[in-house]
Amino acid sequence: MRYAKLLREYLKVNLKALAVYDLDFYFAIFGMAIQNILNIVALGFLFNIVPSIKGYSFQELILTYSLATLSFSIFRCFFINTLNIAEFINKGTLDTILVKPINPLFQLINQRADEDSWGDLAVSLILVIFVDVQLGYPWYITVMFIFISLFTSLIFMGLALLGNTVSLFSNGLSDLAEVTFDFFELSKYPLSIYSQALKWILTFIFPIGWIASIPQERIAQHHEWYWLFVIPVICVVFFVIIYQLWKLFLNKYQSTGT
Amino acid sequence: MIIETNGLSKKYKKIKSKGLLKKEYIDYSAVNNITLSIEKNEHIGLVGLNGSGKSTLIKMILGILQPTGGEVKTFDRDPVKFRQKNAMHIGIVFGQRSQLRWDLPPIDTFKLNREIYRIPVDVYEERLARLTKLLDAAEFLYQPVRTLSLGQRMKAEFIAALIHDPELIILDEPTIGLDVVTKNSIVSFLKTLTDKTIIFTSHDLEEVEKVCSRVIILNRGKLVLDKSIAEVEKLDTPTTIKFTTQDDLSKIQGKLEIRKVSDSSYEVADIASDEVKNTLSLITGQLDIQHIEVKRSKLEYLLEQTAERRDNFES
Repeated sequence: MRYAKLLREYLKVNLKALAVYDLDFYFAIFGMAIQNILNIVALGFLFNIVPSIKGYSFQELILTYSLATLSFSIFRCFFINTLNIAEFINKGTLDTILVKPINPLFQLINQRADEDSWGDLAVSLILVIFVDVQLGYPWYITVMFIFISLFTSLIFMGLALLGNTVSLFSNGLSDLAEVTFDFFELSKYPLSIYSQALKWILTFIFPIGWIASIPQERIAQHHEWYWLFVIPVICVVFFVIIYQLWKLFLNKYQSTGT
Repeated sequence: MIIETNGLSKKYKKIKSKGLLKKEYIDYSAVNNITLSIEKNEHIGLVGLNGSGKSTLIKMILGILQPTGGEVKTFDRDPVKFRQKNAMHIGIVFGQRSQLRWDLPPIDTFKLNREIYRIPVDVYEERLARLTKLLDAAEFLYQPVRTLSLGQRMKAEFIAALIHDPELIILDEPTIGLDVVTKNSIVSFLKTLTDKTIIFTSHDLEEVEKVCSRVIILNRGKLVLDKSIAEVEKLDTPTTIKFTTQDDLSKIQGKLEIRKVSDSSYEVADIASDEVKNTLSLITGQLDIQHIEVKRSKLEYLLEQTAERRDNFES
């Protein structure tokens, strides 16, 4: 309850900060839209050469792509600050976070609003709806995808926190949080295009298969509704495990300091 | 008792020589065996050269850093374990880092803090009005922080740090880089906070003497002096006399050790307390003085002394 109230206050402040960006904000949306269109055009060229990839048609691949983008843009809109911990350590902002009487991760997440990612969010939402219609999926599949994306964004946050632990360990010298972007690239494609070993790693160790590939396969293709429950649980469990690890490294940071 | 430390130490490992594969570490004591206790309502001036361990000590009191030896208690509990609980009663101003939102007016950070520290709205309004008046901050509360001058920003930092009426106030070089007027207004503001415990670090020693009731000097992690301002006043420290004259100095040459500071401006340093009167009358009696200044800066002297002692000892 306390945190809900706090979240409301933080959202108010962050939205106000976004409004400050003004023109920059709209340019960012525009830029993101262009970037997405170019990505899809590139994928389209690929399909001019081959009719299908591992049984996936052009539309189906776009669905994987847009599901991953939707999840990632939710991460970017709300949790992007978890990427910046190295900078926060170097500038000493982390210390000002630690001396406040609320959860450090909660503060870290809400420390700053990102103005670039709202365009990504809008574009990926439109894409998911558009592709679902193209593929002839019923409307509730789209709703399910949006619901699941809210949870799969936690996987990206988990990966960012995992990168954080390296920064916390090295006192901000090295920063692996950016690797989250590379994982995002991997998550844009169905798991079946990867080798067996990689498929296993991407399912059970760095679980990015759960972001787009598994929901698409299980829900859209096979209509196995219980995955609607399984996938969020997996996301939350992964996040909680990583969060515990992150807390451990935060304590370690306290014993080394700067 | 607000803060109590007993043999508090913090050691770091520092890389001494760094080859490609070969690394050598040396132990470096940032804080070394410090025992002190700070009572309620004391205003502590924490003084020391750069790297003397002031910030490390403060971080351990706040629970951001885990000590490697000894123990520290803030509000009678382990500050690392009870960091978030203690934070409700601590207000912090770091001169070098800001808690204000860069692109928003300070008032938004205050509102955020109101929610963080769970301050009832009417209490918040009343405190804000009082702090704003005391610090003369009304004109810039609604301007984005990035457009504020350093002095205005610092005043806003003070309001943000004190809006939850903390018992313990920690000020880590809050006046660094400020102009004289702003400094003075902050110093006189701090003097009004008699019902608060303050830990104040600064390189401006005159300021420390004005604000604090007790001075703690650290040097290379060690506690070298812990005395009340009244006791410091009583210490016999030499006086410096500065004067300006167009006259020829030959009249008093030989009797005093005079150092030329700049054109027609001179300085006589290290005068023992029983010599001050004689020296003064000698200068004023013999020369046509345009300006004269008698200075006895206790803290500066003590700080220089402790630093030199260590240097001699090491060389």
